[in-house]
Amino acid sequence: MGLLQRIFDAHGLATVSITQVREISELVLPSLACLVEHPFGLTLGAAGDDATHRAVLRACLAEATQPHSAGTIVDLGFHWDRDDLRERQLRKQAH
Amino acid sequence: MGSPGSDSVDRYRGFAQVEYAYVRERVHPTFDWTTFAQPSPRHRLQRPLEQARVALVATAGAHLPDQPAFDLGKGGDSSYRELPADAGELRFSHVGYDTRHARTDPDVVFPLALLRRLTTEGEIGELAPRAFSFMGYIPEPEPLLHETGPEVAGKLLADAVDLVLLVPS
Repeated sequence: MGLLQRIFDAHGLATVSITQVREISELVLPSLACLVEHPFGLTLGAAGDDATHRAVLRACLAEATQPHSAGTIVDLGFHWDRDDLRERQLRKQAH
Repeated sequence: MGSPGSDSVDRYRGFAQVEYAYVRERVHPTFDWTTFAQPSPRHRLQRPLEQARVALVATAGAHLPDQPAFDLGKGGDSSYRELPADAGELRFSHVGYDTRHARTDPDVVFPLALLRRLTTEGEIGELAPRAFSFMGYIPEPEPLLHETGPEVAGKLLADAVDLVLLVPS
């Protein structure tokens, strides 16, 4: 995701991305990333959870209007507490 | 762009370290992260969101039913699919995550329908005429960096988008 964003940044496009893993974004350093700590495959939230999907998207889009410096990673404050799926994914024990 | 000098997994931390070791051991022995020392330049949104044309680019492996699926082989796939802003039924092909949730509710990784609703409700000016879909497992990124990525950038510029929203899976 960050590699694509860097390409778009280099072409002069305004961009904002969601990232699920801060340490990967720190390796790639795109112009502006928004950290959402949800499981892989559930980036915006659980299936059918429209309220969370909207909240994530609104928060991410709102950051695009802010005067962040290049390379900023904004923690949007979304965490996953439904189960241990994300933790297992981060240990490569689930996908 | 560059990679640190040694092959040691200790160069990385957290999930970056876990994924590096996993992919090299099980899938792609020469895999390494593509890293950068400096951030890419930031270009500010030039108009309010309520007036902006927003494009979705996602790496969930979404495609239309009549488009070819992504290559799920060990070498990855740096190709992309164009989807019209009014795309309906979607399919998902991706090796890196469980696509069951996306098949139930595409908004979880490919929020095109949600962006349409936000447009209708006036929170976004308009959707770009097409969205772009990649499959996120690309262990050899050179074709992405030099071919398909710049190609999509050119199409986003041709579509006169004000903001590109990138969503991973």
